[in-house]
Amino acid sequence: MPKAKVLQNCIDLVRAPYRGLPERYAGRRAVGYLCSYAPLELLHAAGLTPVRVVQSSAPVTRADAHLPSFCCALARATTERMLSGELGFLHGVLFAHSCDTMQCLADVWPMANGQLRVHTFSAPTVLDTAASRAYCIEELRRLARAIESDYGVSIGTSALQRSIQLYNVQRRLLAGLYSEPQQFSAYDRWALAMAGTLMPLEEHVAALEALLGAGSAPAGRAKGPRLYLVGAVLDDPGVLQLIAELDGDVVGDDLCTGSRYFDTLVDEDSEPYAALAERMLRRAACPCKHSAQPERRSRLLRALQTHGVQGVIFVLPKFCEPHAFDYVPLSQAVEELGLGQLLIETDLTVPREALRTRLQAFIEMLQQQGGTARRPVGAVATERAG
Amino acid sequence: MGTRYRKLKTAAELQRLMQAHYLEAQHLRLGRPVAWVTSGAPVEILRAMGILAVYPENYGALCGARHQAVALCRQAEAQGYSPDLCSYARTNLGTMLGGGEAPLGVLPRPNLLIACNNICGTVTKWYEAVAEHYSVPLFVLDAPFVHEQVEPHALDYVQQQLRELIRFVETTTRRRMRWERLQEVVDLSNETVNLWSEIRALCRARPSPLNVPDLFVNMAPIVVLRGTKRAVRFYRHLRDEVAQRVKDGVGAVSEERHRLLWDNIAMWHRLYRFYNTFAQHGACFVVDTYTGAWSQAVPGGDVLGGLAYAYATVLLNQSLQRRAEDMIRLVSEYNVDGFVMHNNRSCKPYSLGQFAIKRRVTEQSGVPGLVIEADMCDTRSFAPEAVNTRIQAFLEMLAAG
Repeated sequence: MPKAKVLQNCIDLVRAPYRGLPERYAGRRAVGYLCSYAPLELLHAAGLTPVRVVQSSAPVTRADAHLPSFCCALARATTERMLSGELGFLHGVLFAHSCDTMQCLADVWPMANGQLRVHTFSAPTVLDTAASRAYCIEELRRLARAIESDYGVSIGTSALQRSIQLYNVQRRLLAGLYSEPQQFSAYDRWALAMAGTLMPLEEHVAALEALLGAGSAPAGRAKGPRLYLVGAVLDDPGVLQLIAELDGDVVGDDLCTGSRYFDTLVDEDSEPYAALAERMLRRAACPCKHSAQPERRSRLLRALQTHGVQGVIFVLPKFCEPHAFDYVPLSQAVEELGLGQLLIETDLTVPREALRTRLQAFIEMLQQQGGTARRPVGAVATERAG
Repeated sequence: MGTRYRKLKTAAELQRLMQAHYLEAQHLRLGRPVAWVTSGAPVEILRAMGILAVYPENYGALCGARHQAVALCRQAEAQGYSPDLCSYARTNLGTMLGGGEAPLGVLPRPNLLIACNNICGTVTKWYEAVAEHYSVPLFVLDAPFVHEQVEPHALDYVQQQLRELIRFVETTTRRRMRWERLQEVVDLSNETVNLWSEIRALCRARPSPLNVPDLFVNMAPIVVLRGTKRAVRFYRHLRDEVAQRVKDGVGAVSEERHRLLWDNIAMWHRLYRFYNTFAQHGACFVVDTYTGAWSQAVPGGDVLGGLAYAYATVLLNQSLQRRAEDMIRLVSEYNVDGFVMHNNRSCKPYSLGQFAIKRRVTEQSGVPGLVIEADMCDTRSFAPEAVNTRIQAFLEMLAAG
């Protein structure tokens, strides 16, 4: 298949994630998940097919009877999808504990839909104590037993090792993809990563291998300022499309649907459950998690310096508490580096024209200023989206 | 119509007790380190180690009741904190960052911080911000959420962290754990909790001797002074007074006609005014889910195992299904005719699942419910007229039977 076609297939899939899925997944048992802390290797090793449940831009109506308005768009829009029957092809949904909202959703869904089979995984919140590791291993084992009994399967050690290896291949390929901004635009990278959460792992790995193979013609890199995105799940590529139109060069991200998904490999030589737990504790953390050391900030600062970033764009979902809390110290750290920054608060819909104006002003400001030199504190473009 | 609030005789004692607590924290520390702790943290450990515990959440409620929370929230918002964050957190961060006017002075500067996420994930992030601001060590106690039943490995995890917590306090304060003292504090804590449960249970009487604002006001010592002799003494007096009311047939609301159940944290900013609207129609909130969160005793046996169990299984750390069951039980035990849910913008774990709980409680108990959107401290997200209209309609429906 030509490379352009492979890419286009992924983009089409991301645009209409669940269209035709029952037929496409004939003979497979798909299990939904929402959070990147869901241990996909366990589902895969059980012969199930993990499919990420993503937001949609469809109006939310039914979900309003189940969730209040001060709840994040991810929760409301995915609940709308579930209530609309669009996810009827799923054999179950796995909720990994991250934030208070996901925790509630794990209970709201089966209460709203008695047919739905829900699995929960209470991932640890504290990442850097000896107790967390032992707990995480036991919780993974409990989940594995629950999956085995609910689906009448067994998760053998060698199957689990194979799944771990294959997910590692996917992570390496995604990391490779993200390190090739000459070949793939930020939008393409996003679409390819997202597609990987929606299609069977084997197909995704094959697609990435085809795309990353030798002989690719560089698509040409954006010439504008080097930007870095920080946020939660980025389901709507609108921001990326606008940045591309304005010739901004996204050199990296700290997103749940970006680098946080593929950061850190699972050790293939260790006992599988211990290895899975270890990655969960060591991967680039979601702001829901806690470590005695503010790991997320140092990781961000390192990335900003490595990539010579000029501007940071925080894309934060309205009503997301963990991100809203982390925004303050991260924004201060960016300010201290003397970099430009912009805060975009997203909700069910993002007014595109207003967003374009703000992004344009931001990118122009970075262009005028040039370089990554330290500037006086207070001259930073920080503004909360209306 | 009886609208007058029937004041408790113990009110003056309560006021003295709480003022003394804040005064002690500010001026009578006697060399004791100060810990800021969350409402669901195992304070018994700190007391046994001679640490003075203060509660920013309680202080947030106090600021809300005194109508000073909004100004403090604005200070936090000016520093970049979103107005969608918990208003207790914003109030506390506002006092910390803004340095403006605050009730009873401000909380004393902490030497260490203890947050337990058994009530929400918010406290984890909130306390991270406090730790950073004061450059003081923070211990986060991770209590895994209980969707079905509490798992043995989760209890082990919490218990192991309690040991780590003790080492953490020992290292940061150079104070030793006195194990005999810990058992004494746990016993005092249980005595307090049992008295509180007894007081709440007395409200099964008809008419109910207390209305929910009484419970909200009188819960302060169970939160901040649990495990002290002072708290036990106070609750004995309160229990006696409430028992006397029951004996004399004295109700909190004169001519009690409707018995209601309250769900979620109080609206601190209109504590009496709000509930008086109901009292005017003979509606009394005889029970609630919030103040019941402090009515679970520490089980006997190994003391750390008991503490781990008690703190891992607080109601807000359990599923919506379990919370619905709890409300259904309260409806029957307290002969409740209806329930009101405060859909509290500040508290996501308490509020996001309320619609699901409401449907289940009404289905299974047959009593109607009303959901009101507001905030525990931030009056900016409260529309009194719209809420009043809905309350009137609800009361008319109750009156029509």
